[in-house]
Amino acid sequence: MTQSILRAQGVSKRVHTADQDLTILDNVSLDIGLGESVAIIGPSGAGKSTLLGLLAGLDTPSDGQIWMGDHEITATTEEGRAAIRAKMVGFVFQTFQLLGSLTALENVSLPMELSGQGDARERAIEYLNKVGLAARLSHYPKQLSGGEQQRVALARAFACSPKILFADEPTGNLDQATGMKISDLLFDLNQQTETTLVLVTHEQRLAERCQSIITIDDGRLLSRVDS
Amino acid sequence: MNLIDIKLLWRDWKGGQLNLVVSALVLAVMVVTAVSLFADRVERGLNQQITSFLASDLTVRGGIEIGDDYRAKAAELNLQTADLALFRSMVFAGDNNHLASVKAVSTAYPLRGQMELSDDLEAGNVTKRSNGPASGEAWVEARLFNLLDIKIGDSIEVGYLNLIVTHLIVNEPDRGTGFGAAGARVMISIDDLPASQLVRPGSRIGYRFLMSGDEASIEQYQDWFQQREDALSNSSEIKHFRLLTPDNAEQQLADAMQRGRAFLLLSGTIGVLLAGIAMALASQRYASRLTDQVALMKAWGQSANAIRRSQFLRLFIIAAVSTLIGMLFGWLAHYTLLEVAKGVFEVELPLPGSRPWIVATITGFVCVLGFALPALWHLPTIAPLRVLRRDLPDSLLGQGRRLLIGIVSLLLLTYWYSESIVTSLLFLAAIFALFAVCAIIALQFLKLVQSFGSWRGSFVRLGLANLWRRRGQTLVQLVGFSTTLMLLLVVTGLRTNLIAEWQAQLPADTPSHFLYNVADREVDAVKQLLAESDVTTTPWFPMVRGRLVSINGEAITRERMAQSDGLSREVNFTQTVDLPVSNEIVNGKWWTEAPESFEFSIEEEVASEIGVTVGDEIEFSIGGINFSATLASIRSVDWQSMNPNFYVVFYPGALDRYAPNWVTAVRAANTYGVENTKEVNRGALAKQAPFVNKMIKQYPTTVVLELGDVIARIRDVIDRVTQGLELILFLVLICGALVLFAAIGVSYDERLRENAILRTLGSSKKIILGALTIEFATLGAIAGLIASAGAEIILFFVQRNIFDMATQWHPNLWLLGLLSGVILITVLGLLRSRDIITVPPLQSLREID
Repeated sequence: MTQSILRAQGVSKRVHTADQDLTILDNVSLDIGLGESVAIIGPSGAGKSTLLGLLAGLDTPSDGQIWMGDHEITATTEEGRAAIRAKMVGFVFQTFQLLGSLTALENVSLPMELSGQGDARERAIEYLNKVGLAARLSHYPKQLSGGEQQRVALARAFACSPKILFADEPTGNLDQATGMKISDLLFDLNQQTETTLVLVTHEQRLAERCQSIITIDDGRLLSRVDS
Repeated sequence: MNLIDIKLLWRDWKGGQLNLVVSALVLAVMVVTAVSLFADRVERGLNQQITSFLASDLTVRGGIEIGDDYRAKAAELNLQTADLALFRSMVFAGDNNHLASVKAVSTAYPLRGQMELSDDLEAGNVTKRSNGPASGEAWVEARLFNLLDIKIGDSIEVGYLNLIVTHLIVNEPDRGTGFGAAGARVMISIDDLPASQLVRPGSRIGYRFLMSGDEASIEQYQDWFQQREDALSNSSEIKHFRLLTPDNAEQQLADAMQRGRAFLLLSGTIGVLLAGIAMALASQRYASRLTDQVALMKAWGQSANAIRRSQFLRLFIIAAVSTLIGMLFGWLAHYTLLEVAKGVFEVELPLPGSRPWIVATITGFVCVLGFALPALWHLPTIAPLRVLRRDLPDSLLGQGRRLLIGIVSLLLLTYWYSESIVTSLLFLAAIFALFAVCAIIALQFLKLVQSFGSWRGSFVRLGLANLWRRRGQTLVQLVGFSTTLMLLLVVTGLRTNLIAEWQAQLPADTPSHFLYNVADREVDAVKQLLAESDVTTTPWFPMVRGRLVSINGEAITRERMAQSDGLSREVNFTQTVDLPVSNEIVNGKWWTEAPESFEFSIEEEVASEIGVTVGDEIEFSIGGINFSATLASIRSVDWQSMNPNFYVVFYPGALDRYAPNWVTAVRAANTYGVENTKEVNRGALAKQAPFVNKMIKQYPTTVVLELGDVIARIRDVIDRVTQGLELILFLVLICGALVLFAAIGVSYDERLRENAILRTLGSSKKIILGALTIEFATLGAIAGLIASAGAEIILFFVQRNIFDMATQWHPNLWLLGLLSGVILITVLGLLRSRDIITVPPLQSLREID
């Protein structure tokens, strides 16, 4: 196996509800190698997105440890995790999460500008070219179709050159044909940039394009199948 | 400075997300700037005049000729001195005349400051002089040239004097504040005064003895005067003179201005409060829009500190830019206030100082910190996980805390405006009490409307149901709108109704003119003239001015004087056998036969203020001579009767030796007075009753006061004051409209979604428009009703307690309140909601996602 970039050890997540403690994730351990693409599948409510959030350092587990590269993100503060995310992580969301008041170009360049990258604009144009939106740079999200919006989101995620890209149901809001195109684009870019991809999806076909499929149900890791 | 923050802010602005926050802030700053600039300029204008306000370093002032001892002391200290006498008198030139404000001065006048004179009617080529007119000369104010149709070199008659007009007065150092409706100035030499025969015993003349000199001598004189005052307080002698120093003149003016400024700014505070509510609501919506952006940035690795810094920077820019724009608009608006007040101030107002700008800047920033920041405070603490789970709760600052911060900010601002913590607290308590009462009443209306809506047609039910469902927002809108509308209705009611009502309530036999200052020896001749002129008069009363000195042997203290207007100044006394009409005895007995010693009757309110009862022995002072009399009765007086009325009435004999002048009220047969108020033209006697002309020609010391003129002056003052207030309240009403906008904004997404679903399910645009119209029209009707009811209650108290008149309903005010409420709120509401109706349902649903 290649060098590990993301590792979880005995991770559990419990939440307190009014009358009981609810276990969303139960003792999950996994290891993802650099440049690997991994799909996390499972039924609704299985804990997929919770696991994604924990792995990305957006949330902290109730038990267990998570390492991102050399950093144990479970042993650091939110500010520390933010700094690690800034260096290593990119996201693609089911709802695209584009800022409505910014153009396609500005949406893509914003995270790079926030991290102080000097060539943000040039890289944003380059990646919008790669996703086929060279003619739509100055369009606002509401002037774009769902597929186009997700392409902008992909350009935004990859332009930052993240080491790990977390994608949460990236085709969930799209029709089948558009979903196919977006997943093609996602995997193309993933290969070009050698980014590690962690993907949460319901769609078996999308999951099958990944090198590994992790199945979870009821908060427990049921299987990991490597292709 | 981070350029991205500015870019994002610019994008938010362009996207319309900041419109309301910025508009509310601009309006708040505009109101405060306009009001404080106006107050500051007026204050500065008046202060500038004070420096030469007295035309001297010290002035002794009195209603009788200045005593010799006061002059002797000035001579002993080697002070420069000058004399002047001020009174009103008719001046004539051919057939034209004018009731002028005559100032007779000695040649040494002015001791401080200079006379500014011109020989040209356009007031060009101004020359400065440090002396008064020579004997035989008259210097007059520009408007007199028009009023009398004269030019330089013509002669005018003042009393029995013929004087040549040699100069036009451009400015005189002690002209005063320019307030009031005094006649045009005619300045003559004091040496000519005896020959004019205008000074008679009992004439109303103000005497001033001006002094100037080195600081030490001035101080010595002040000390001497004070010792003399103290000695007078301890003796039975009465104080007839007051010492005016630049200090006390400034202090009085400063106090008055401070109160005026605080009053205006507190009116503006209602605007700030409403703008604050609008800002808080709009910021809440802005915050919800920013939530996703912040979560995303945190997911990308932005720290909470970086986001807090960015938040402060954005708010700083919003505050700075909005404050600057608000100040600019405020600057323009204050010119409108100055325009309205024009004529009240005859002086050229100097440019403002820095305080209004500081007040405006602080207002802008405190508003942002107090109303916008609390709604945005939680943003940096948003969990980055929100990018995945949008249902995560926000750690919004609790409503209670936000309210508390808002109130504290407002308290800080009102304290800064009024410079009194008690005033600020009372004011805020009153405003919040008003809000609470409005809210309680509004809630009852909403309940009523809700039950009414359950059996109405579909869109009516839909509209009314919306009001109840969003009753929190509805209440905020109702309270904001009804209070501002209420204040506007009160001011409008004052302006349009009360004066007219008061005038209408004057009885049919209300006199048209008052005659006073009729000399004792001229009374018979004047009576004869009036009889020949076909006019009727009320009884004639002799009148002298005097003071109350002691009650049952106990001198009236300064503290006690302060409690009663009647004690603190000279008042008019009369003597009569018959109880004057519109007077009633409430205690004691009116004389049926001549009393053995001096007795008098007193008005009941003064009696209770100074605490006297029938049988008390009271000492009076008239022209420096003291005498005692026993209180025989206490009377109620109908001051609205427009008859000559007096606080103190003696049994005839007591005032015989004080050379009284006489007063009466006249009703001219062809009633030139009351009915003519609109066309009244001061000084244009051609339009007046014929007897007036004859009388002032033959008896120039007599003063004829036209009732129509008095009413016109009251109306004029009320018009100007209310117009100024209306302007401020109009701005406040716009703040109320912003509250409406902001409150609709809070539920905007929800409305958009609901109406998209309704339209998807087949509701027509007409039904949705109908429901919205019903919702806003009902809101407007409730706000209008509350506002009208509140205004009616306030006007009721104003009528009863201030105007002292019979109270009556104002149906036109209810109609105005109701109509303006319905129309304003419906139009504004529909305007704000137009996208809800016009945007296609699919687009609406996508926009919300």
